[in-house]
Amino acid sequence: MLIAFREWRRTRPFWGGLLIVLGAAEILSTTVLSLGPAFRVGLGGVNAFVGVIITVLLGVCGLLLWFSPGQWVFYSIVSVVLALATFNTINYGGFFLGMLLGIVGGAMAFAWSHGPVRDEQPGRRNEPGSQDDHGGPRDEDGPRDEDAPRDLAARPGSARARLLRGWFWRQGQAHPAGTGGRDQVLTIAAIPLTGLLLLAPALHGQRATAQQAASSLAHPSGGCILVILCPPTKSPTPSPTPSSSSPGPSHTPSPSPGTSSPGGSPSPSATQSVPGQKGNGKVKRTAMPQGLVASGVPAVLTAGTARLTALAYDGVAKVPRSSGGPVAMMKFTLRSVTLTGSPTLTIHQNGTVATTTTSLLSLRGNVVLYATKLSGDLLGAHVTITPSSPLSLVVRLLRPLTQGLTTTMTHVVTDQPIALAATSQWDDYHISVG
Amino acid sequence: MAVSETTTPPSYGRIRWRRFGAVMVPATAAAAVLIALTARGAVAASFSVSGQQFTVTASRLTGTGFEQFGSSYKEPSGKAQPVAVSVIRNATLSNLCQSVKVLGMTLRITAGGGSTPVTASNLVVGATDLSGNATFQNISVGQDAGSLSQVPGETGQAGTFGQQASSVSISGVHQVAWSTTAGTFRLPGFHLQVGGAPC
Repeated sequence: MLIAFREWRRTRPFWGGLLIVLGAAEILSTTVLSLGPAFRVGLGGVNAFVGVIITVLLGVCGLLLWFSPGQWVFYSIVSVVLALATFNTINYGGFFLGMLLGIVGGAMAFAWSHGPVRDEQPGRRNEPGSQDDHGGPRDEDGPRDEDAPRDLAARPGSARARLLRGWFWRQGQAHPAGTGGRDQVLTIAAIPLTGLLLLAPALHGQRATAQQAASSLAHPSGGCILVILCPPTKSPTPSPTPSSSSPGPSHTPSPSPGTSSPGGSPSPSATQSVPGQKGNGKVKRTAMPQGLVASGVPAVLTAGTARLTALAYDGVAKVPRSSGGPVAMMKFTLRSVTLTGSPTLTIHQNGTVATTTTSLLSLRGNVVLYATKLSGDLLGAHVTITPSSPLSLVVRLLRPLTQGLTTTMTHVVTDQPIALAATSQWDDYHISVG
Repeated sequence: MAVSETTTPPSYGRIRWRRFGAVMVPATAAAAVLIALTARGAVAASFSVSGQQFTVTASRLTGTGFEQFGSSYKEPSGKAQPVAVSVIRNATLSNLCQSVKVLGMTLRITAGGGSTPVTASNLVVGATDLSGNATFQNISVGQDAGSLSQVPGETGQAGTFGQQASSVSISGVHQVAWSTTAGTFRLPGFHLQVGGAPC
């Protein structure tokens, strides 16, 4: 069994393939393993997906080196190029480590050869078993020292010339079929070229997307020091198996270009909703900013103090929800709101609590607030206003008065708040989840 | 190993280390070029990490196209890790510092320390903790996360709480994140340190 495995191992570039597979696994282990169904990754994910594909291909090349070793030269060169391509496409090639494993593995696989198939004196090949220790410096020196005298001995006449011509010539001699040497030289020469080809579209594309590219090119920050992880001779054992289809694809939805977003109406600017519609008890749906949909999860905004400038109660608005029909909400328009006294937004969803705390939260410029319930102390009295409460009618009647004033409310609690504003400031903003 | 073998079948292969070097040299050169270009910010990198907790800090983050919503990230063990997801269409970060634990080592990446900040597009960060001093333009808080429109193609789960703004500026950013994805990441002054202190 062990003997059979050794036989199998020695008839193919086993160690090179192993390093490549490990490299691909390491790279994948640093990236997205699994994301919940709600976690949608769009454009960013597509770009990352390219990296996943490249890495999977790298792993496949490693496996092909084992199972289809006849094409080892091709697979090994492709592996080196793919390993290089991972650097800019996926977590800096798994933080260098996976890229290095891929390059070293690819180079080792390329350097593998059917030793004894040489044209002369197969018996003189040094014992191949010693080369299986891929990492040992002993091996690195050993064959090189033996190569030279052997070739010299084989062709004593042109020994010196061949020495000068260097290893390229020797590559040619390695393959009596005659095809190997020159082709491989060309292939090696193609590596940097391929790298450039890979780089060129990246350079071009990035410049088009990010305007900052120009400035970053114009002011390259000098003096950057790079500490590169040393190539480990021992391969680590990353956890996931690089089965060629498992990781990425699940989390990448369709690219969904921007054109599909409704009407291109981002930033629900409050301006379009404020004027004109002096709410008559029921505010029309059209009064709302386009595309505003209320969330369906319990959310509460509390604050010690709220300073409301030029408050106007517009009445009740039917705000649509994604499910369960529209919800009746009170709609207020203001010039500005400043919340102090630990303004806190608490959201309960999916069985967890997300809390956003600030020391000061202000909204300025065409502020629109929606809420299902508002309570607090106003002029010394505790008030609670809901869309159906009689008090809301009073507030609406007081509209001309409140519009000219700055109202201060304390112990404010707002249920299901929706807030729109031109500018908003959140001091000591802190979100914690779970 | 295999010291006992004296007669070897002719099909056994071997590794010829000079050819190994013949590939390693140009490949290393190409890698060095890639790294240098990336460190100058001339070439963008793609970044996507999840599955472990890591820290991201920046002295200042500005961005156009901002969304935030809740989600949960499923750990390999099957446990759901709730996160607040922040999505920024185009972000610039000054003095970015990221520290990640990979294979038991702390990797610390810093960039954007000089006059040229880090830029990222389609930055998606899932964090359990996020803090800083923030200013938003054209903000909308409390709308359905499924109806967010500031970053095309990026929305939260319909029915949940969402927030968006046309632009954002946060100073003193500190995040404890579980996942980060960036379509393109330009990291001028890129510096990777192994075994350094976390950010």
